[in-house]
Amino acid sequence: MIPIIPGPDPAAAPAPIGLLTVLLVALLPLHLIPMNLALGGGFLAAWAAWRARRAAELEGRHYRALLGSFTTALLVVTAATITFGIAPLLFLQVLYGPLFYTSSVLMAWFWLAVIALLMGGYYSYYAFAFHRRDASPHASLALAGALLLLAVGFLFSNNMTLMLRPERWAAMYAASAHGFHLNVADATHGPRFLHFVTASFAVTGLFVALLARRHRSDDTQQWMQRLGARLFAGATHMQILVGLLFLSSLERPVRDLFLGGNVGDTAVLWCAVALALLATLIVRRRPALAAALTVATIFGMSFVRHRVREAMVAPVFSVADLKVVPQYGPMTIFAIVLLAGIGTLVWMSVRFARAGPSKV
Amino acid sequence: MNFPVWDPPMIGGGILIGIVAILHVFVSHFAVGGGFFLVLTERRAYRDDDRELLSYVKKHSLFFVLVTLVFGAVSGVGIWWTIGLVHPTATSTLIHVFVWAWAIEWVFFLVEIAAALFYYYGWERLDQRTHLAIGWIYAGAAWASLLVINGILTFMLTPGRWLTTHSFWDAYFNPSMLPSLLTRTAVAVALAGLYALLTAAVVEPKALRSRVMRYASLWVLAGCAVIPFSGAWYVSQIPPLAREISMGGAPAVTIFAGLSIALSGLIVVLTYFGPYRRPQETSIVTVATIAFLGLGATGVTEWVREAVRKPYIIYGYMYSNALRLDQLAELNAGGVLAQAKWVTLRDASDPDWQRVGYEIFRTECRSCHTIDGYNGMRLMVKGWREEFVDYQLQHLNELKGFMPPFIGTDPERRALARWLARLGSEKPFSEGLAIADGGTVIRQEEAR
Repeated sequence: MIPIIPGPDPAAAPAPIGLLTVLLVALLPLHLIPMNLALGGGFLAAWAAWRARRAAELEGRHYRALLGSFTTALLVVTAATITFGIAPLLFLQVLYGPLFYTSSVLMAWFWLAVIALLMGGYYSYYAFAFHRRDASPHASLALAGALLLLAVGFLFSNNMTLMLRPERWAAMYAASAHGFHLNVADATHGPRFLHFVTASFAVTGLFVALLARRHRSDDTQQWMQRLGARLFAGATHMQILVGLLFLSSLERPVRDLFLGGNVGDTAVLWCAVALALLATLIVRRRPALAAALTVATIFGMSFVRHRVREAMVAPVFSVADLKVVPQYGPMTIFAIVLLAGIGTLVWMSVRFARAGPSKV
Repeated sequence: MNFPVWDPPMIGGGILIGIVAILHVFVSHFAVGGGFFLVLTERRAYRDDDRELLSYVKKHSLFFVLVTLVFGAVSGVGIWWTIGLVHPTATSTLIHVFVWAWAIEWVFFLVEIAAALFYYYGWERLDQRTHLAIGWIYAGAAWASLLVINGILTFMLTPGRWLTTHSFWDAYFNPSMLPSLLTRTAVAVALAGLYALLTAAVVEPKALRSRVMRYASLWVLAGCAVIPFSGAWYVSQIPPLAREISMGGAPAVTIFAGLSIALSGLIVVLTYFGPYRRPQETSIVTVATIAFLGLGATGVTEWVREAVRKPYIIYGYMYSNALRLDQLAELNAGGVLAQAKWVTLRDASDPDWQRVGYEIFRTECRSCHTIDGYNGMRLMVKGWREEFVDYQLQHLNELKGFMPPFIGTDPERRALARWLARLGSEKPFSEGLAIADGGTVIRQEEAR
């Protein structure tokens, strides 16, 4: 019998599997954090723009201050989301190509729509940001952008869960090969999508609390810090529920890993949860420390996410079976280019920051 | 054969790739050349203390950011998306052979995007030297990302010694890599000028408009001056069959190749006599026409470049239908259905010949052909008798040089011939039929 899961590529993996896995897991948070901000930030910007028009004078000023420090950031985090999304997707394709390409083909039209939706969302943010400079802000533009990005996230959740469900593929493909399938019937999909959306609001709240310190007026500073802290804490508490829902949607052998079945997995998950809760307690007084704890949580969750993936496909697919022929030369060049690239980024950032605030 | 085949009704995957790729190429080459244009023009404005020119560069940089950072970047990801859906097997090979090249390119991309943002937001904030330096960083990173991707692209047409050594270096430094790099760099310079003409045509005051138009025209002309030579060098490096296809072997490809040259020539003539010689009389309409011709030239050239690679997707390694040359002996002996995943039956002598034919069609032909739409088979085989179809299938690669040979056993070939012959003459055949009537796709549980 020939299994339906595509076989591994005859061209070997060009690096040890462990290294590719570490890169996959460690680079993902660099995508997730700006993604959270691009999504949650879009909704927040829309809300702030809407409130700025209607709220009383004093409060309206707060909202405008919030928008002032947020709109350009929205463009930057969207750019960062896309750019930092590429590397994890690259390593995902090396390690999990047989699963990923298959689920992509099954939902081909939807997957292709990601590109158009993303472009639409990105341009909406640009329209929002550039419009804001001279006229009163248009909430609808930010809202449109955020909704389009939400759709992108929804489709990503579909593909990332469908690739873990080889047992569903045959029936889908037999029903239609036109590429119109989604994975919404999967019990893990809804909670997983919700998990990422909730995180977006939490991270956005944290960002607002951090931004507050850049404002000179004490009034605005306090207002923003309070708003950010409340959003962060509220979303994170909600996340506990969503997370438990997600955990309970996983099949028993996978779930059990995190409930004592595997000491390491259990420890990482619950430590990450504890750090996030700790962060909600200190976010008002020490937003920077809260941010550091949250970043640690996100890295932990990236690991947990990877372990869920491994466990879900373990019966039929394992990266350990891949043939490996390391390309040490190109790998070294990558390391050098990466260091030089980071150096260049740091240099540009420092020069930009030192030059003082923009006159715009 | 390894992956499920996406079946977008009526549309060939090639068209989708074409649409995304042509738009991306037209913008991404501008993103490369435009970086040099911005920083060199900015430097010139500082040197001559030319405030007007500087104000133009600032405006142009906004246009540049809006076009390249959003459309350029996202459509680049779009190509990756599209080829993964249409050609998952080949995409997987490219990812495996070149993962470190892609990773290196990613770093350049990262620096490029960040530099573009710092450049745009730094106009009022940074001192001249730093701003220029960031402009150079952008231009360098953008070109470096072209440098990396170009090698991967040319690998597909001329994998060279990689076919025997399977070494990364042989794959990257392949025979057509350098001429293609030179050509693409020249195209980038020309497109930088072309886009600059677009923004220059609406700039005020008129005197500045004329000046910038003349200056931008020089970029177009300089880029176009190199292309014939680098292009000839490139053509000399590609496989003989690819040359034959573009020079008469396949009429459609030849026409497009001719169009590519004609359109490029027209661009040069219009640019020279329009914005270069008579900038004050040249309107936005003329410039937009030139830009549109540029898009046309890019489109037909990329199309030809893709077309001449037939019958391969990776030359001498993998056919367009994702079957590898090293699989042929096994597949011809044991059959395609016996090896393929995602098929509803394995026996070519199954009495349900319609389904056998359809499954073979889907496995071997669907990556280029549809039934009724693009490259549709029903029209192609209209009036053909079964024996004639079978004869064609037996000599596919000889009769149609840009097609792979039929791969599989004799019964498989005859089943396909029978199915194809009925397609043209008899009752309409629904694409979904074979699957929809309750076919038993091999399920995971059975496999284990």
